[in-house]
Amino acid sequence: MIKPKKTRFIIGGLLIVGTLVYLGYSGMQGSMVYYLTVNELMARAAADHSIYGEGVRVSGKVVSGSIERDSMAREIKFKIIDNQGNGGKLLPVFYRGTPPDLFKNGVDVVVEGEYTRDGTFLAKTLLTSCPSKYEPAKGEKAE
Amino acid sequence: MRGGNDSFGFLMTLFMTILLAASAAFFVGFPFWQKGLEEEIPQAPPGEAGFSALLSRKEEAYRTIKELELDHQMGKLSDEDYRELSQRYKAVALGILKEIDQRYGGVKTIEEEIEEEILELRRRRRLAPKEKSAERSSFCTQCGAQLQPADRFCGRCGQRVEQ
Amino acid sequence: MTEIGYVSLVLALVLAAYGAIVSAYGAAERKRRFTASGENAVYAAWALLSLASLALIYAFLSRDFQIEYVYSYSSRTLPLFYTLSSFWAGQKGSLLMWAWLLAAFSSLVLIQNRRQNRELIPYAISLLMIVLLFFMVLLVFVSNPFSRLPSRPQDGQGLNPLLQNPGMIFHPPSLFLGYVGFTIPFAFALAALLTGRLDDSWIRATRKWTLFSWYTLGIGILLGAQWAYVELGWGGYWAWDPVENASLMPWLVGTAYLHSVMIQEKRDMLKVWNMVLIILTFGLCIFGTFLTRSGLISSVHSFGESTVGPFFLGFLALLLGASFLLLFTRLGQLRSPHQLDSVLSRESSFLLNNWILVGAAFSVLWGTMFPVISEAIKGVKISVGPPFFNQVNVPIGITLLLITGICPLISWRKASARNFQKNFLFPLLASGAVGILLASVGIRHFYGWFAFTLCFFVIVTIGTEFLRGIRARRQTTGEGFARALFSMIGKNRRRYGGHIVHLGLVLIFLGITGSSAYKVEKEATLRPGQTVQIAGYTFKYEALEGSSDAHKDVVRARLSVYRDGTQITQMKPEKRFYRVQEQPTTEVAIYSTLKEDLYAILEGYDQKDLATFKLFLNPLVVWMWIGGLVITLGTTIAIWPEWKPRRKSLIYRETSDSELRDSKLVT
Repeated sequence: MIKPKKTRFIIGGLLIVGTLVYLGYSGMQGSMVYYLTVNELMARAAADHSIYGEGVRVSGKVVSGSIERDSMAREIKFKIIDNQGNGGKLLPVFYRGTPPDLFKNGVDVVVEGEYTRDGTFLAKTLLTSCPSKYEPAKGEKAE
Repeated sequence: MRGGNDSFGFLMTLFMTILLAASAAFFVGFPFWQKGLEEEIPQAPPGEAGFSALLSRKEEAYRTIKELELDHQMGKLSDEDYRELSQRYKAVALGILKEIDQRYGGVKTIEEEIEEEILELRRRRRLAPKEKSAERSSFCTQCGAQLQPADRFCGRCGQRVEQ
Repeated sequence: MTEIGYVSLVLALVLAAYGAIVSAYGAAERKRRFTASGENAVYAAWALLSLASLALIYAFLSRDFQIEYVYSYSSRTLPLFYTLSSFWAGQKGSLLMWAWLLAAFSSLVLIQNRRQNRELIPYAISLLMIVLLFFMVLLVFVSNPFSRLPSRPQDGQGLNPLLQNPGMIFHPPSLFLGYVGFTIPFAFALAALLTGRLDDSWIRATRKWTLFSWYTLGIGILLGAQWAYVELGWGGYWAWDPVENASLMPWLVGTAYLHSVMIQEKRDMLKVWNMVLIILTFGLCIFGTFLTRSGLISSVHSFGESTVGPFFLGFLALLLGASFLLLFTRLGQLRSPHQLDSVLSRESSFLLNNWILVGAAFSVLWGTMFPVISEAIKGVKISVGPPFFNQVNVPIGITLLLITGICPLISWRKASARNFQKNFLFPLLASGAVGILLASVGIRHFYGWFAFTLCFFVIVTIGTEFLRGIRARRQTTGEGFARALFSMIGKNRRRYGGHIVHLGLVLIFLGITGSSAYKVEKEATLRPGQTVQIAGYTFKYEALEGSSDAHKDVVRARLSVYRDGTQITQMKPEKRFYRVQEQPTTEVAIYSTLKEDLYAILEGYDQKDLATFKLFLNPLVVWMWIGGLVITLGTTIAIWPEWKPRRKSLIYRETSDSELRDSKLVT
């Protein structure tokens, strides 16, 4: 009496785990993107060309004074720089759509999209750090 | 002037600090010279549940019995399953009751005594005509000998009494 | 006054350390005076933390901008309401709030258990004080809310306008209540392991705490979603962002725990599993805080890197390591003599629900941590986006919904197959009919159709559960319908409260399905007087208006909404510009009906009043918030204190000791 019941539970458990793993695996395939800093992206693009046309997420800091908006604020161009504080090259970004409210000079952003051969990053999404408990860096705070 | 204010502020803070620390220390240290506080925590016998645990386990068994009843009334349990399960839980509850009696026997609050009286009266009034039918099924399934309520095996043939 | 705040923190730190040591020593050596002193230390720490909190509130109200925290999160013009909520707008205040809640809850536990669980209490208190000690170390040495600036600025930086929303006032405290609340069952679980009192008394002692924490955490998440929906202005409420995930994971595991403890209470089984679940739940609460503070995973919410991250990680490792080690040494004593009676029983449906919930939590953890995992393995950060989370969690959610529906149809221990079929037939036929109906009116989206049909199925099964209960009750007691309903719920609070909570979850599910499967969105650039159509609604852009007050400049667009030629409402989406923070915010306009939400965003405009709008039609969103209210009702019913057993038993108890003694226990 005990044995078959136990095996039934084990089979049930394995089935669930198997399904979850399968779902997870197939979900991963569709949504994996590289997550790079600006410098890493540049290094990758220099090393081989496989990065072009791939989905990439890049984090960086908006370079002050680089934001260009059109009159309707429908399209926006700006440059980001590595936010690890190592300097490096600037990455021009083109984004169509309205940027989040917190988007402004000097803010950390994450852009997702693809890196094109002409050196511009076409962003499909543009994220800024959320305001909740957003703590400005020390330098900005001092008066 | 400003310096005076500062040192006054400093003294106030110091004073408040000492006051807070002293009252906290007093409050926390109080049990060490409090009278009427027993020194030792009585050691409960290992592996035994305490009185309150027994009581709550009993409550849980009652609740389960009630729930089974409800499930049965709602048609989720077949008569057969219901009988089997509710007997089993009644036995569990009775076991706990016995344990309470053995270990904490005689300890009865006045409310409990009143309650028992009330229930006794109630039961007499309500169950009077039904009293005989309660014994109905207490026969061994193997040989038909009459069984005692607490029997786990038949006294005549040794057949296991299903619980 | 504010100096007193810091002094109180330092004293509370000392008391937490003292309380932890004295309680543990007193318990181990069975010395009453020591444990009593430890208990007083808890009360004293609570009093001191209250004093510290009052000092911070005083600093905010007196606009003492020399305090860095006050300077960073408030300004002279900030309204009183939001000035008070600035208390938890930043990390330092949140930590203080956490510590205060922990001390308060610990004191409540003591008051609650003056006469019960005396074996467990000293150890539980010791553990709670260890957790408090951790927060006090952070508050005193790393993240002091009373730290001062060298000079006193004229005005503060003000509260971020996006946080000036009622949702933001209740969302963080609600989450904190949940996080801190789960510390109580965790401490009792470890106390049970330490004392070897491994019966279910620790579960009983913390049952209501668990329910309370589960509820507040869940409502906190829902409030966060609502805040995102009305304030962030992207038309949605959930983005699988690491910070959102961080709060979801403990909730999922906590939900599993909430269900599986019932099996231990009823059947004395799954003891090890329950221990694992509560340790994981608490671990995930701490982990969530770590995740949002450490900057390890950058997220939309990125809280700014802060110095407390490593402390949290260390504390988490210590806690998990010690807990699991302790659990391991007690494994032998936790073995259960019982086993499940039947595959077809409520127990096994709970078990299934447990596996799935833990699986869901794991998948969320996996997805959230994937950048870190892939960097450790392959040396490159790879992140996974919402499609991953949706792909895994949509089927999981649907399965859970199905279990929720089946659950009331089967009884504890053993459901006989025949009864099961009988009970199943009506809901199945009814929802089958609804499924066909839905398909015939043009619902084609597979998950959407399936989820709607399932929602209906669950509502039917829960409804029949109520109706049958009432019928059974009326047969035995002869009460009227309403009376039978109330007395039935009153006598089985946990059971029917639970069903009502499930009903609320179904409504939330309905909202999620509707708004994710049938969302319509449109972008349009219009001149005043022009119209745009979306799903049967006509939006007419009337005019652009400007205004300004002390804090902000506002540009507001007026949109008239028509349906079938008649005007139904006017919507006014805004763009605001807050001068102190130099920050624009988008104020969306929402027109809610039970059927759908119209959601309008003013994206941009130019000098000639040409304006760009983003319009959404979000079906059924309102049901998510209604579901939250229903869950509140259900939880309140389940958590409502019972009458004192003794008084109740005097008149009301139906199965009584003496009746039982007299009953014939025979087969």
